[in-house]
Amino acid sequence: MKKILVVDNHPVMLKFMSNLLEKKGHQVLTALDGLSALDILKTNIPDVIFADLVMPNISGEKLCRIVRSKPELKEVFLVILSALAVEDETNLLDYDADAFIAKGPFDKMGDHIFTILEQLDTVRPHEMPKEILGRKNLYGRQITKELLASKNHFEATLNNISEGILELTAEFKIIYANPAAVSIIGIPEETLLSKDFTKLFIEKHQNKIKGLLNFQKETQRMVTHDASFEINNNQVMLNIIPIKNDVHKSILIILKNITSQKQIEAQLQHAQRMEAIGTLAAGVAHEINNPISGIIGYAEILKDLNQEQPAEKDIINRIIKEADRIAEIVKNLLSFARNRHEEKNPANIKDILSSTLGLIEKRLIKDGIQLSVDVPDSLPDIKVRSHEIQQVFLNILNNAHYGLKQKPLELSGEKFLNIKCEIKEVEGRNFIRTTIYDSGTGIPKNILNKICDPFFSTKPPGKGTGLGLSISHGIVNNHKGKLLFEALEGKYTKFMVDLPIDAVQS
Amino acid sequence: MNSKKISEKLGLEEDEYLELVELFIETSKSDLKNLQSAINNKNIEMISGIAHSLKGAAINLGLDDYLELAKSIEKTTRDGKLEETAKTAEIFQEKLDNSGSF
Repeated sequence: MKKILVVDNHPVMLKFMSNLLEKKGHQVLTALDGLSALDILKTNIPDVIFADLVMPNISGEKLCRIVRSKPELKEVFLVILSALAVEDETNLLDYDADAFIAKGPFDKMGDHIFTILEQLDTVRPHEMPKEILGRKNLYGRQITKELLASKNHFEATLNNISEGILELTAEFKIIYANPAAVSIIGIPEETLLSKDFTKLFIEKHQNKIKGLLNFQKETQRMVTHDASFEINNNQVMLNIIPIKNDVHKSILIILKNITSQKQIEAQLQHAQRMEAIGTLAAGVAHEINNPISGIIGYAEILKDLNQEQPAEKDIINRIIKEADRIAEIVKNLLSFARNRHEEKNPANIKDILSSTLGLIEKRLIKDGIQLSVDVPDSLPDIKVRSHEIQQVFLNILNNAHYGLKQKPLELSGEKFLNIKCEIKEVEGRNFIRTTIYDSGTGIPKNILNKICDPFFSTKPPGKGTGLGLSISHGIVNNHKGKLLFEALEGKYTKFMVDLPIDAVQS
Repeated sequence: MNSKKISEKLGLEEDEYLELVELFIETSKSDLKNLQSAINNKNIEMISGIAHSLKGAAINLGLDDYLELAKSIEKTTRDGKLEETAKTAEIFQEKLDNSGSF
């Protein structure tokens, strides 16, 4: 006795197969389409599956592929039973099925089915000849052949557009996904099909998605740019189109990936913020500088007057020291905000990097961090203020070092820090891009847009001033370059310093 | 048409065969309704799908009259002659309605 699953959208076929196979003592399960077949396969592992090809809700072809992709169904003997077997032979043999039977009069079909089931007891599946049984005496049907051609045409279109296209049942189960949708969602097609669409989203968004899918069920709905959802770390716009005819209801979803668009917008917003903060900082710094000079000046006078009183002199020295500290902070703040008019000189990034690394390399090695540096000798010189660029690199490297050290041992795996330089063209201009990548603690998403703000720091008090990155940002900007970064919390941080090459000529 | 003869030819018991034919007629009645609205909406893909399904079952059961009608529906649809498709569908429908006792 075998357990046999028959999948066909025509009840006559299911009835015939049940009668035929049950008479021989087999246990027969039936399904009217690919989706219900997958449901059955969740709890049943049949010995044999007979599947039609043309079916609603997940075609036979897809069903075959899904069955073949599941380890628990590896041993299932898969037979395609289709009228298409007559018309589309070449494609048919591409399917990963074990046998093919062309639909024909029941007597012939019955014979072929028994032939296969008998062979199954004696021959190993993969030793069976790959041929279509029952093709003889059946006329070729030009009509369906042409239908297939137009189907292939649509498929080519769907396979190559950049929007993701999904079709869902009225219960939101995915029954079709084009390659773009698969890549946006990041789950292989075999696993994606028959999955609940709403489950692709994070839990707190699932109800919202359900609401959108349910809403009236009649009209088309858009989820636009401003209210985009997140799937697989991608920001997506949704276009939800209910499709209704007398036979079945389904929902068509068009997914548009707007992640990079969003990133560019975020960068722009960030740049505007930096500019506003810079203006404010410059104003504040300027206003503070004058009174600080006054305080230090008057303190010096007091010191002169109190040369003979050690206790008073000590207090005055402290006033001067603290005031100097304020002056230093203000100076740093100004370098974030202001373009210094110091001369820029041609220098090589490689030299700047190696002198920076000279300052920190020993500490990195001591903490077991693997350092890899990939800087080609061929990079052209660029006009920079070397000590400023060195300060930028040192800031980033110090942060990387800190992040690598902070990462808990059990999570850290290998600690590595990669530095790479390359020439990059951005908007028609050539830059030298220095990428500094570390496998440290990363940066939480919610503070990602704050890390360049002055006085923003995640380090404990006394460990950081919160000025390192804001100063770096200012320096790179003053060099007409760009400081870019991306990070994944707990995984990595990547900083990119883009410095223009054409600055040498200007 | 002789059901006994066909069932013998197909290697089925006569009552089993009749049961299958009855199922075919029932299914086809609802298929025809869908076909009708597909024709009204000029939904070529759906017409072809239904015709394909009708054709398959007609071949299985050796029902040559129905087979010819289903083929004709497919062909006229492909040729863009939906009026003829509609006529053929009507003939199909009448045949189903009169098939009561087979």
